Amino acid sequence: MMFDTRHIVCASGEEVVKVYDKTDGKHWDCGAGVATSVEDRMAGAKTSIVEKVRLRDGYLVEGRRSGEVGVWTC
Amino acid sequence: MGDSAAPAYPSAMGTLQRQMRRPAIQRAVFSFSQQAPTELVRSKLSTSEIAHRALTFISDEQLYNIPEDDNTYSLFQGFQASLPEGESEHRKGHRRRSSKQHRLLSAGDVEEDGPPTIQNLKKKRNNVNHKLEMMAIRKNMASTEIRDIDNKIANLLNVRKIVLDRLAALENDEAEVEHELLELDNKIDEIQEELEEQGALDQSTSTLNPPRVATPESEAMDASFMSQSIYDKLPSSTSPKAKRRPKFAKRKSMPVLHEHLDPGSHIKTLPAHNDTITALDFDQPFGTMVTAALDDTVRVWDLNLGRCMGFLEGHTASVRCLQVEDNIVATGSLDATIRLWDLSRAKYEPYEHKISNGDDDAADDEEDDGLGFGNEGEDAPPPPPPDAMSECPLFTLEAHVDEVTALHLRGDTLVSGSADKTLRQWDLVKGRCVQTLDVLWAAAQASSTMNSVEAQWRPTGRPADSGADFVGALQVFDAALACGTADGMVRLWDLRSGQVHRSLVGHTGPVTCVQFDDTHLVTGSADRSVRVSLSLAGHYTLVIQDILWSILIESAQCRYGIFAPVQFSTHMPMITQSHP
Repeated sequence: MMFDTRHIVCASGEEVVKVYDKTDGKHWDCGAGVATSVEDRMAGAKTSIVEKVRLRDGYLVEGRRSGEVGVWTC
Repeated sequence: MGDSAAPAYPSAMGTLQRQMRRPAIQRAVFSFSQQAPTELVRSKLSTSEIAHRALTFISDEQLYNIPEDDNTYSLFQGFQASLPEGESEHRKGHRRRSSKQHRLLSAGDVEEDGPPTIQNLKKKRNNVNHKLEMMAIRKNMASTEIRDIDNKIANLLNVRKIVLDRLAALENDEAEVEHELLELDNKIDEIQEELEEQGALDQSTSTLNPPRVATPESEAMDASFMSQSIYDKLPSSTSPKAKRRPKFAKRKSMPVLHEHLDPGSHIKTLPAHNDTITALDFDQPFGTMVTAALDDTVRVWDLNLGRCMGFLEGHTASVRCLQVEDNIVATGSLDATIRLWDLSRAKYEPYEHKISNGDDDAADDEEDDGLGFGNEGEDAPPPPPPDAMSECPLFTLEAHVDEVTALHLRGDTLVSGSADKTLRQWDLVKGRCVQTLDVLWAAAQASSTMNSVEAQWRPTGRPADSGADFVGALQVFDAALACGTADGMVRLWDLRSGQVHRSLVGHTGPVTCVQFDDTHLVTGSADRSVRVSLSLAGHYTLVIQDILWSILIESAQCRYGIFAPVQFSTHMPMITQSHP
C-alpha cells in the first residue's frame, strides 16, 4: 500500500490494484486483472496476483507473483 | 449614354482596345450587363442591384460541390424552424388581428360572439400541424447537431492522440539529449582535471627556476601555488577514482506524459523476474526502478526504456524490503543485513548504439568488452553487462540477528525492523547503529504503566502467522517513527526518547504497510482493511474495508471528516514535540 496526494493504492492479494481516490471518494481497480471477465476466468484465463505496489506522482508500478512488473497511470 | 446608343457600344469598345474586339470578351461583358460595358452599367443600375448580384452570385464550382447531406429536412425548412418562435408568433398574431379587424368591418358584430366556425378550426388545426412539423424538424436539427458534435469530439480525440504521441516522442528525445548533456558535462570535468594537473606541473617547474621576475603574473602563480598545496590535502584530489566516476545528475526535465493519459491506462509490462516479486520501488516516473524477487536477485531497471540496467549482488538471501531515494538504494534481506547502494556509480549507457555509430573509440571499447549490445536493435533488450553495478555497493549494516523485514530511509537516518523483534536506527554518515528499540519491551512497558489491555502484546491472541512479518512496515520522519507489527498495532515512537508515545489499535491482522504525511496516517493490514487516521489522533477515523468501501465512502461524515483540509492538521514532528 502507498498513497500520494491524490490516491491511496493497495495490493490486496488480488489480480488488481485497488485505487481509492481521496478527493472524490471513488474507488476503482487498476491492473491487468480488470479486463478479464467472469467468463474468461471460468475459461481459465489467469493473470497473476499483485504482490507489491508503489505510487509516485500518479505513476503506478505493481509487482506480481509471476515476476512481472506492470506500469500504469492513475 | 442612353439605350439608343446600345448597338454602337461594341464598335466603340473595339476602337478603345484591340483585345476588346474579341467576341468572347464582348459577350462576357454584355451577358453580365445585358447591353453595356460595366462602367455604363454602373451608371445605369442602382448600387443596390449590383450588391444583390454580388451577394447572390454562386459559382458553378460551388454548385457542383454541394456537400452531401443526409438531413431529412430541407435548408429552407431548417431556416424556418430556426426562426425565433416569438417573432413568428408575433407576426401571426398581427395577421390574425388584422384579419379579425377586416372581418369586423365586413361582417359586423354577429359572428364575433357566435360559435367557432369550421374555417377557424381548420385554420387552427393547420397552425397546430405546422407547429408539429416545425417541432419535428427542430428535433431533427438537434439530433444532427449532436451527431456533428460527436464527430467533432472523435476528431478532437484523434488529434489528442496524435499530440500525445508527439509528446511521447519529445520525451524520448529529451531523455536522449539529457544523457548527451551529462556526457558532455563529464567530459568537461575530465578535461578540467587534466588542465589542473597540467597547471600544477607547470607551476612546480616554474618554482624550480631560480631567476624569478617580479611581475604580477608570477605573483598570481605564486598565490595559486600556495593554494595548490592545500588542494593536495583535499580528499577529492587524492582519490582519483572518486573523481573519475561519472556524475548521475538528477533529471532536469520532469516527464509529464503519464499525466495526460486516462487514469488506469496501461503503460508497459516488464517480465522482470521468474519468481514472486517481494519488493520494488522507483525514484520518479519514467526514472529508475529497483525490484527484488524470491529468485534472490535484485535488478535495476530503466523505466523509460524498460531495460534492465544491472543486478545488485551481495545479499546471500532474498531481499524483503527496499527503498530508492534519489540514487541511493537501501535493501534489507533475509540474511539479516542491510546494504546500501549508490546507483550513480552504475555503468549504464542507454543510448550507446547511437554514440558508437559516430565515435570509433567507443566502438573499440565496446568490442573490447565483448558486448556491442547497442547494435542488436530495440526489439530485444540486451542483457546488462555483468559488472554494470560492480561499483555500486556503499556499505553493509550488520547488527540484526534475524531477517530484516522493513526499512525506511530519510535523509541520513535509516530505520529498520527485523524478525528479532527490534527496530534499529542507523546513522548513514557514520554507518553505525545509533539506537535499538525493543518492541516487546515497549509493549510490556506500555501495559505496565497504562494498565490497559489493548496495549499489551498478546502472542496468544493470534496464532503466529508464518507469512506475516513481525515488523510489517516502518516510516520515519525526523524524530517520529511509525511502525506496524504483526499484532495489528501501529506504534508511534519518538526517536529522541526512544519510547512509544502513542499506539493505534484497530487492525485485527498483521500490519503490512504504513505511510504517513503531515495530516494522515494510513495503514494496511492482512485483515483486508485500510485504516486512515489523522496523524495527530490516537485512533482511526476511517476504515476502508474491501467489502464496505462503497458504503463508507458514501457517508459524508467520513468523507469530510477525513479528507477535507483539517484545521488542526499539524506536522508530524509536532506530535513528538508535545512529548516531554
